[in-house]
Amino acid sequence: MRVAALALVLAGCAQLSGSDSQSPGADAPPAPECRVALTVNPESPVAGPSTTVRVTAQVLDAAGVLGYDWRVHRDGTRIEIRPAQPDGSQIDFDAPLAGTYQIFLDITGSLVPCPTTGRPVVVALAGAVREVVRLRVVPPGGTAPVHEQLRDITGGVTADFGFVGIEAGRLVSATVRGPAGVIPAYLRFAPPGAPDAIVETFADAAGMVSTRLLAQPHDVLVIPSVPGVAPGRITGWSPGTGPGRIDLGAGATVTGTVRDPASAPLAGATVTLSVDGVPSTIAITASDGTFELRAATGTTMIVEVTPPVTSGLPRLSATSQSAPGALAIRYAANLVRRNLVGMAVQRQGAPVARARLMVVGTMTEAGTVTSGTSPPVPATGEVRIAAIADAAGALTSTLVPAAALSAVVTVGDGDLAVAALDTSDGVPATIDAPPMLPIAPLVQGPGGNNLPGALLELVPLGALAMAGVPVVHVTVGGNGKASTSLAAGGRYDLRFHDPRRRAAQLVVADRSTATVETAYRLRKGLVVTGTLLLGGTQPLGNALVQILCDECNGVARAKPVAEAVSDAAGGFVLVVPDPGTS
Amino acid sequence: VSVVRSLAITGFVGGLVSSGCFYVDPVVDRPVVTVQILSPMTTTLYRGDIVALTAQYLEEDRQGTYDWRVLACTDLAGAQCDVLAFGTSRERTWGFQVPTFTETDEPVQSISVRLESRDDRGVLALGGVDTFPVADRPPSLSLRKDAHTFTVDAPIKLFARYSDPDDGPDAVSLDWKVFTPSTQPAFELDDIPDDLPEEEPGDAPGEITVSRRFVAHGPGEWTVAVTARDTLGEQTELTVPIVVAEDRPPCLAQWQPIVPPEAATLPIAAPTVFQVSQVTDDLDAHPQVTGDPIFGRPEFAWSILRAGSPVREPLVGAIGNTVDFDPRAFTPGDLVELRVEIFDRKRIAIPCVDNAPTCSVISQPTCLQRLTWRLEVR
Repeated sequence: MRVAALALVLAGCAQLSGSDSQSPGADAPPAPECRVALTVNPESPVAGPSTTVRVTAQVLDAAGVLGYDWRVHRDGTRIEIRPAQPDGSQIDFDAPLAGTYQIFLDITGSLVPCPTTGRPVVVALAGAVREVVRLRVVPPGGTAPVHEQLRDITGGVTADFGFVGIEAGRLVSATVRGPAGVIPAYLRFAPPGAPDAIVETFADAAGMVSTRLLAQPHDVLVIPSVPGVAPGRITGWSPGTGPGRIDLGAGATVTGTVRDPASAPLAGATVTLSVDGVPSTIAITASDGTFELRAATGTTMIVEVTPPVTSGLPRLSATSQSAPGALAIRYAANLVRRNLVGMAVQRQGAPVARARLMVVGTMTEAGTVTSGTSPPVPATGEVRIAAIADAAGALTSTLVPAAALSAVVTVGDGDLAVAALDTSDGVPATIDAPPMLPIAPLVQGPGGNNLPGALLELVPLGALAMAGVPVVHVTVGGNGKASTSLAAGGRYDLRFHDPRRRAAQLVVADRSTATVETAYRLRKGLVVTGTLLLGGTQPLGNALVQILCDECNGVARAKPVAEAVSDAAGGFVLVVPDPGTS
Repeated sequence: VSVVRSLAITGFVGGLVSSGCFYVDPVVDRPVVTVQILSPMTTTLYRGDIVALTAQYLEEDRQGTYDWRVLACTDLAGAQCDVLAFGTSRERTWGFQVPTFTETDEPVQSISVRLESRDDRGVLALGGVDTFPVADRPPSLSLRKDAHTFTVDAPIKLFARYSDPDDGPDAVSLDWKVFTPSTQPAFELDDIPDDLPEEEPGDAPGEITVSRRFVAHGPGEWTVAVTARDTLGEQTELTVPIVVAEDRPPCLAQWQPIVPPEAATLPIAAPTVFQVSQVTDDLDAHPQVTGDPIFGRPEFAWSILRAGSPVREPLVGAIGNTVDFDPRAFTPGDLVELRVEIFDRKRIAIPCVDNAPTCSVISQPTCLQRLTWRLEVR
């Protein structure tokens, strides 16, 4: 027997003490309410002919002879229940079918009012895969802070999230102060329990900031808008009851030098640090290669050096566990540079006038970074160097590292090609930019029907991504095909989704034009429903509701798997990929 | 009414005056009975009504026996009636439901009530035959409209829920009429295709809901009239006014990350997804309105102004609601402007000058079609 899950549902708990809380009667002391907790056993029931779910109510802060009025629904149909305790505080119901069973309980007879309590119980198919997703709600017009919570999606089962309480938060005002007084700044508030539910704002020239936050401590990233003041992160900041203060420390002064492969000082390089995720001020090396910046203190430091554009050097990046001290940054002595001048850019043998190249690539050991007396740490190199061809298609003078690189050639707007550019042993005489290659995969729904109006996002990878090529969006036409052209030699992630919710999102990783299939069938989606309640009682309409990946990192973490806008009653309907069964 | 009369007679017999009483047998008049309708209290009987009848002697205290027969007739005069009674009773007061059809499946137009009543002496009462005309009730009808927006070219769902209290909904036919504004723009009025959710709660027993998809191709005050007519010609008509407005421009409603205020810059130190997460629009909203293929998506046009560049570059192919921005493709300290502009199917050109960070084609700051993020690469 698994340990039962305890879901403590605190109805009405969203009432806040803020000055303009959305809850009615916010200025009056909160009326006493009893609390009801529902325990479900087993915690993760699996549908079957003998499956019985037991629900136990635990009522706190109530007085009187209590009565228990239970209701259980599945897909809108009332489910028969059986009392498991004489006083009605415990019930059983059979769950032969998979689905979301909504349990509601009204307590009667209490001298202290008890709110209606409810919770969903997901009864899974045998072997169903559970996937954790992030439910993100962005209330309209700043009526409440962004809300995020983790939710389970179970394979094969329509997910009813039930009532989703959205805290109205409270309007918070504060003054941002640096070491020398008030400062304008960019601020990012993150509640510790939901670090993606950030609230962004700016402090004005007087350091004044006003925003709506959840009534809990936040981690605050402060990036001053004035030069010379180190950004910082304040953990567990709480505004208190009155106007708050956000005090930014002075940070640490970090000095250092940057030297090129010949050990000569490198002037004009941009140096930045990121200490435990907090960026530093920006420094540019002087003619003697020295720099000075201010940074937060911490344990993990990432050093980034962006050399001058014309230097032909890669951008350096090194991670050090040392505290910021005097930094000695050196490019690898064996790093050789080549000049691409005169190299011909061609397409099918013909010169491409005014072609633009972005030479990209990575180098594993492009230099070292030494912090104080710590041993040097290797720095990786990232090449992103732009070159341009003249009217005859010959490149003008452009230095690049000698390495196995790639070039993203732009022949015209949206006309791209990816070509290898190996400068290890010299500069090739020509570089070929093949024409774009057409693709037209058929996009179908779960039943094999075409999905006109569905979307295909082609997310560049590798060289294209390094060159900053934007995501290409293609709308599936009336013939069911997503017709477009891709850069020859390029690689893409294919992300299909259907705004009309006929099918779930499909992500196909790392495809080239040669490996794009002729047809893709999108899977049947799982329907996710729920109702947003502001302050626990008020339907929240016109809010953006998104489902996002919880395991993802980087930009993928910010891209919704499904999204919708809540209706006037706070209801929302989403369609997400079915995790399936194992 | 039967009245027993006793007479006291005084007279002369042979010069003698005698007095006394003698009796005659009671004179029995034929009683008179009437049929009274206790309910319904209305002046008109309808098919399907529940009727309560009672027999009433002229002399209120008189009792008797009652033998009721009620026949359904196909004429108003009660001359052409079924042979068999549909209702019989031996109670003084009783009830029945007026049938809707006779034995010959013709609509009932009257009922013939035949009451044989004998008083407590067994005398057959006069009266007790009556004919009541029966009317046909008109169909019931309710009309509802529903739409994401009441806009030119937007689908408007119309739901007509009907029944007929006499004959049930199957006997009712609907007639739809559209009255256009004076400019007489074109319109569509069709069945809702099968693949579109009708979004109407289930019918109550005995009711049918019919839905139509109405699309007005011009603005103005429209009226849709629905006539429900039963097989006997009774009808009910309802109209629903629909004010159709022009398609309004799209509005940027939600976006991420924050757009910095004037003169400030948004620091970007990590790869960031710039996204317009909500656009409000009559026909081309984001997220897209589902339920009808006429709804589309807005088009997004992204552009970037790189540090030191005099020209804003369009991000070709980026027509979706997101753009990935990787600050490593820039030099820390670079000031970059990332711009998004939105268009609906009308593709109204954005009239503002290039260096205006925001723009509204309708000059409303609450409805912008252009946003510009001023970024500082960190």
